[in-house]
Parts: sequence; C-alpha cells; structure tokens
Amino acid sequence: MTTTPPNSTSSATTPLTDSYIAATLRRVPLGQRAEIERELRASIADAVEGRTEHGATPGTAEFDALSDLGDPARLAANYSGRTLALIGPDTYPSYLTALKVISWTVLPIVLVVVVAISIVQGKGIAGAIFGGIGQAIMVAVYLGFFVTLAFVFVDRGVTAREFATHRGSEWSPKFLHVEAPPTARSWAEPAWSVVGSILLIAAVVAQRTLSPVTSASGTPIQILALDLWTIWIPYFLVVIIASLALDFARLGIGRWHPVTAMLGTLLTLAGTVPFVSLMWQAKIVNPALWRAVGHPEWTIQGNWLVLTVALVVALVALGSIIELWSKRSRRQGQVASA
Amino acid sequence: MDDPDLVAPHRQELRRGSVVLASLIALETPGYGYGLLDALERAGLPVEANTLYPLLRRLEAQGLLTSEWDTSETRPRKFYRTSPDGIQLAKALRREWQDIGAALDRLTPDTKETKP
Repeated sequence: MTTTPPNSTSSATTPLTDSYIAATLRRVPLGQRAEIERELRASIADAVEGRTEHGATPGTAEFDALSDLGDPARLAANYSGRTLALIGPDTYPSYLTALKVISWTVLPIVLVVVVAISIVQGKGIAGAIFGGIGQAIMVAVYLGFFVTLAFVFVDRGVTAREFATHRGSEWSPKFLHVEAPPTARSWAEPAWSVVGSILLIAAVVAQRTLSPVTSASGTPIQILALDLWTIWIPYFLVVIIASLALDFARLGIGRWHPVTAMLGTLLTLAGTVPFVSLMWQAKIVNPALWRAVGHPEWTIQGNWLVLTVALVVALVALGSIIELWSKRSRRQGQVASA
Repeated sequence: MDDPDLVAPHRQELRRGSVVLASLIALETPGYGYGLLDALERAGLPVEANTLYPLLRRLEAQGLLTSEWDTSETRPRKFYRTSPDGIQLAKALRREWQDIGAALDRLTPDTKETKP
C-alpha cells in the first residue's frame, strides 16, 4: 500500500529509494506511515543532493545515502521503539534452561521406550535403534517449536506489561514485587511436572503393547481408544509440553505474573475441556477393553463411571485455576502489609 | 589505549546522551532533519541519520520540539523548532553537563592536589 501525501516531492523517487522506504514503512505503525514517508523522502532527497553537490553521480549519491541510513529494519525499530528480539533478556535464561532440561529428560526416554517397544515387537536391534533415533528427532523438533512459541508469548506479555507499568511514573521501591529470596526459589514444581509428564507420555506409548488385558487370541488390548491417536493424543501431548515450558518460564520470572497466570488458565482449559467432553462421551478408554473385562455398560455415553471421572477432572482443573490466581492476592496482601 | 575497537563503543556511549542536548540547542533556530544532521557533523558531533530522525519525532511527541511543514520551496521539508519546554530542558541539561565536567575535574588526581 502506498500512502504518499498529495504534495510530496517526486524529485528523489527512484525504484531504489521507493523500495527502501517501503521496507521501512511496512515495519512502523500504520498511523505514522504517511508522515514518516513524507519526512524520510525529503531527508533522502536532501542527502542525495548534498552528495551530488560534492561531485558524486546521482546513482552513487543515492546508493551511499541509503547505505548511511542503514538497515530499514533498524530504522523502523528506532521509529517505533520496538524490540527486535523474539525472546528478550528477561526470559532468555529460563528459555535455555527449559530447552535443556526438557530435551535431556524427554528425548532419552522417548528413545529408550521406542527402542524397547520395537525390540519387544520383534524388530532387529539396528532397526529398533534407527527407528528410535528417528522418533526422538521428530519429538525434538516439536519440543523446540512449542517451547519457543510458549516463551515468545510469555516474553511479549511480560515486557509489554513491565513497559506499561514503569513508563511515565517515577520508580519507587514499592514497585518491587514481593518474591522469595533466590535460595528459596523452588525447582520442585517444574521437576515434578517434568517427571509426571514423562511418566504420562511413557505410559501412553507403553499401553499400546503392554496392557494387563489380552484378547481371546492373546494379543494385548490397548487401554486408550484407538481413534484418539488421529487427533487427540498428539493434541494433549502438545498441551502437556506447552505446560512444561510455562512451568520453566514461571520459574525464570520468579514470581506471580498475570501473563503466566493467563496462559496457565488457557492451557488448563485447553487440556481439560476436550478431555472432560471425550470422557463424558466414553471415548477415552478402548471399548474393547471394557467388553473384555465384562463391563459393556461402561462404553455408553454418560454412564456413572465416566460422569464421575469427568466431574473429578473438572473439579481438579477448577482448583488449579483458582490456585493460579490466588497467588496474586497473596502477593498483593504482602505488598499492602509491607 | 588506542585500540579503536575498544574506544569506539565507549565514545559512542558517552556521546549518545549529548545528541538530545545538541539537537535542542541547535533547533532554537528552526531546522529540518538533514540540515541538522549536517550541522551536527560540522560542529564535531556526528550522529547516525537512523538515530537522529526517529529521535526528532520522539522529542516532538514529548513536546520538546514543535514542527511545521514548509512547502514554499521545491521540496517540502518538516522544520523543527525547540519549544519553550525544550529550551528549559536544554538549560537544565547544559548545567548538568557542566556539573559532570566539574566533577570529573575534581576526581582527577592532578587537580585534586592543586585544589586544596
């Protein structure tokens, strides 16, 4: 889109200057574009003129003037006062920690589980190991992507809020967030989340071959419904990994923050709502399993078992959401009494 | 101590804050972006264009500069002028600048010995 004001000059309009200006403008807020374009065109024309007066040819003068102005991305960033980093200094250390810890725990376990299962299924050792490495690489790519994505959201949210709260007001110690001293900062919560998530993921994978119930022909009956693998199991895995990343982000920030609380709420809902709905429809557990153990009535939508489990899960989720937000009032209470 | 790679960033850091003061002083006589860039360089205070132009807009947004488009010439230019607030700020900053100079003098061992 062009936003040339009607009386703007055309003396310096060459394709090179035009594309430089376009590259700058598309990175600045819409409302400022017309004014910045007009001013920038005049400044470039002035610079070119200044150089030609000193004997440069128009072509080199323009090229040098634009080189002096430098990378349009940086110029635009200076105009809009926006940060150029995806993950800023506030959250970068915890981002690295999260990536390292999650990779060093999840990937070896995926590798071992996949290799073990392949061997149990009677594949050769070499095939099993290559298969395991392949799966681990795929999981690594997913992990990297979702952990990064989660941190980008946290970083944007945190910096935007800090900026909004500190701008235009004199800083005072009362802005300090009451937080536990660093020694008391607990690794227990993320550590338990990592262990819990790994066990859960391992169990989901393992139940495909290791089931307490076998069919009449002796093959194990999977515990989870087979349909879940198309969409829901990958979906829940993503939610679990995103929650892990959030735990680390929370640890890195070191205190309650509305953005992490909001993301935590969204993730809890993203996990719970589909789970409760699937549970109520009796679509979580493999119906073949219930029939094999003599309880066909538990495959019916809304039976007492699925209703009870769905209710319990919903209550636990509600409790954890309340806990997410209750830390805020505790913090504010401390500030008020301090 | 003449390693340019070591000196340049410190010089730049030291000069960064002076650009605002220099612009406020220079624009007590109205001027436009490129003209100011040129004037600062000739006065011995070179500034990057991609720093100066956004800075002028920021100072204007803060009410320290006022601006007006001059369309009487062949090329319309945005002329900036230091506002009364900007003049006040420039005075304060200049005092600050001199105080820093005086403080540095007091801290220099040679001057310390001669002073008491």
